[in-house]
Amino acid sequence: MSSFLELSALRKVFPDGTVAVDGMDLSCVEGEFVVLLGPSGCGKTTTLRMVAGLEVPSSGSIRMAGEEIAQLPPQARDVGFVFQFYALYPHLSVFDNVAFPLRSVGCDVVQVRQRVGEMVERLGLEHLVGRRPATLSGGDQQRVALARALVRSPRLWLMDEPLGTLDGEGRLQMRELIRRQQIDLGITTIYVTHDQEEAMSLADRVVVMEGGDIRQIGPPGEVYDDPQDLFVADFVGSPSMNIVTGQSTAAGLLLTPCGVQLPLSRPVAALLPLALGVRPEAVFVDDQGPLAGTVVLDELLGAHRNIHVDTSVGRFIMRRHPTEGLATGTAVTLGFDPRRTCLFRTDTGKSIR
Amino acid sequence: MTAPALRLSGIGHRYGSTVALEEVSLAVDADELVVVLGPSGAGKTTLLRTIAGLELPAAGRVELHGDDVTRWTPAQRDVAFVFQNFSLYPGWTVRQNLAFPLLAPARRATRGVRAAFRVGADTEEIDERIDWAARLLGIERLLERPAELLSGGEMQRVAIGRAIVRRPRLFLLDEPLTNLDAKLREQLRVELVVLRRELGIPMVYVTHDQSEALAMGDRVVVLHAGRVLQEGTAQQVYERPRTPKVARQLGQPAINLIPLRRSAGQWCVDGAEQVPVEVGLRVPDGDQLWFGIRPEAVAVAGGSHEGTVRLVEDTGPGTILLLDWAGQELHLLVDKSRKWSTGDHLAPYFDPERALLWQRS
Repeated sequence: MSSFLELSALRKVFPDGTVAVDGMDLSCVEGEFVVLLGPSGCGKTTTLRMVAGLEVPSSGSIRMAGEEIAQLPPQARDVGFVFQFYALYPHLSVFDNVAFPLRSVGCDVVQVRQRVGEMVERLGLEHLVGRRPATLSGGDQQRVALARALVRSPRLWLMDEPLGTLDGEGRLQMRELIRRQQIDLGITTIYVTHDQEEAMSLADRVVVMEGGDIRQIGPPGEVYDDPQDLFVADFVGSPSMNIVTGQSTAAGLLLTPCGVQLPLSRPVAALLPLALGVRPEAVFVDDQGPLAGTVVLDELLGAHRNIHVDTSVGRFIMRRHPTEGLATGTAVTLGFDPRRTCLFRTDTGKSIR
Repeated sequence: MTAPALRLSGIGHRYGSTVALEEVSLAVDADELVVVLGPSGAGKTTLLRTIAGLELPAAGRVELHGDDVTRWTPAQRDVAFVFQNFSLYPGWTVRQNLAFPLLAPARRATRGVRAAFRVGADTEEIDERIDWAARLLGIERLLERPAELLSGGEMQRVAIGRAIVRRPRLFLLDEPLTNLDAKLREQLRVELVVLRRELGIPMVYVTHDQSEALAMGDRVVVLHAGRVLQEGTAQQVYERPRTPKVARQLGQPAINLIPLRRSAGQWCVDGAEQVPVEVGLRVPDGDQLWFGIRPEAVAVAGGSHEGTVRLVEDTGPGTILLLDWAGQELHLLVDKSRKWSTGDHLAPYFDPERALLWQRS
C-alpha cells in the first residue's frame, strides 16, 4: 500500500537550541491509526504540531497524498485538530462551535445545518446543541471538540492527549468513541499520548519516541512482546517488564552480580553484558525456580493481581489470578518461562535477536 | 478495645443549599489505609478537609484516638495533608520545605520563617528527621535544590516528605498522584503503600481512580453525592457491590450491566425478547433485573446468541473486545490465545455463578 502521509528527515530545533525532533521518518497508509507514545519532552507533540502546521519544521518534509505541505498554513492542510483542553469558544453554543470551521470557509446555511446535524448525531450531542460549553461535562465538551475537528471531513485527524482531563470510565468511553469514529470514517489519524495503555488499545501502529528520536515502530502486540531496546521494554507495559542485569556465562546462563544464575532463551556468546526482561504475566511461583524472595505488596486490580516480590536480583512483579493472593511477608520462589523473555545488551541497550 | 485512629459519626456538610456530605460515618484503624473513591463532586475533598479541621461540619462528630476534635484547630489535630497540586514553597530549598512542619508554630509566627531556620536549639533533631524522610523517599540528592527546579514527581515526593517528617497521627492525601504521568503514578502508588506500612501511621486517601482504590486500599469507601454507598475490602466491594452504581465504580472496563425482563416464565434481554439469559437461583423479586457480569467473566463461546466484535483493544497481557450483542454493548476481557478482529462473530456465555443481579425499576 502506498503511503498517505510521509514525514522525511523531519527536524525541529527551537530558538534556544533545543532539538525537539531529530530527523524523524514516518510513513502512514490511508485509514491508519498511528499513536505517538513517549514521556514528556520526547518530541511527540512537536511532531504533531508540525503536521498540523502550528510549528514550522527546521528541515525535512511532510507529504500528504503526495503533496508537500510543510510550508502550508494550517487552514490549507485539510486536517482536524483536537487538543487536550477542549479549546471551545465559550461564548458560542455547541451548534455554533461545531459550525465554526464551516462558516469560516463560507459554507451556506443549508450546508452548515446539514453537516453540523450529521456530526452532532454521530457524536451523540443532539440534545446539547443549544448549550454553552461551560455548562457541559468534560466528556461532552471533548465530544464537541471532536465534532468540530471532523465537521469539514478532513483527510487527516490529529489529536494531542484528548483524554487528558477525563477520569475513569469517561476515558475508556471516549477512547472507544474516537476509535469507532475513526474506523467508521476511515480517516487517517495521528494521536499523541504519554499513556502506554491508551496507545496500545487504540493504535494500528505505535511509534515509541524518546529524546526527539523514534525508538520503535510497530503494531501494539509487537512493541509489547518484542521491544527493540531497554527504553521501550520499560516504557511499554503496566507494570513495566522485570529487568535483571548480569553477564552471560560459557554455559549459556545469565550470571547476576549477586551470583544468581538464570536460563536464557537463546545461545549467546560468553561474557556479554546482558539484561534479561520478563513480563509480569510470564512470572510464576515455582519451588524449583531460581529466584527466592519475599512478598512486599499484593495489589488487587479487579481482574488480576500484581504481586511485588523482593528478590536478591531486585523487585520482581508477578501477575496472578485474583483468587491467588499472597500475604505480605510470604517467602516465595519464582520462576519464568525462558521462551517468554527478552534479551538486551546493557552496553548498547539494544535487544538481541 | 481501643478507640479507632479516626472516627466520623454522622458528618453532614452543605455549601449554601448544596449538600456536600450527608450522614457520613466511618472508622479508620490505627494501622490502616482507607481509600475514599468517588467521581468529582462526590464530596471527597470536603470530607478530607473536615477531618483536617479546615471545614467545620454542620452536623456530626470527628474523633481522633477517642478525642472529640470536631472543634479543634488544624494544628491541634496533628494530621498531615498532601494535596493534588504540589504545594511547596517556591524559592525555598527542599530541605527548607521539609523543615517547615517541624518548626514550632509560635516561632514561625513571631520571627518569620526565614529567621526560624537560623535558630539553632533543635536544628540537630530537625536535620535528623529530614535526613530520615529524604532517605525513605529517595530524595537525598535533592535536599539543597530550590523547589521550583524539581520535576512533578520529585515535587510530589517532597510534598509527601513534608507530611511524614513530623510523624503525624494521621495522613490525609487528596488525589496526590493525579497530575503525574501514568508510569510515575504507578511507581509512587506502590511506594506510598509500602512507606505507610513501614511508618505504621493510618491514612485516608482520596481518589477518583478505581485502580488506585483497588490496589492501595486496605478498605475502600465508595462515596457518591455526599453519601457512603458501600465500604469494605477492595475484594468485597469488587465482588459483591451492593448496587449497579457501586459495581460500575470499580473495574476497568466497567462491569457489563444487561437489562433483563421476565417474559413467559423466562428471563430475556429487555428489548431483545428472543435472547434468553440464564440467571441462576437467587433472583430478586420483580419482573425486571440488572444482570451484571464482569468483562473477565464473559466466555467467548457457549452462548445461544451471536454478537459482532466492534473494537479490539490490546492491553499487553490481554485483549479487550467491544461486542454488539442483543442491542447491548458488552466488554470482554480475554487472553491472547486467539487473535480477534473487528467484524468477528462470537456467542458470549455468562456463567450465572459469576453474575450479579439487582432489581431494576
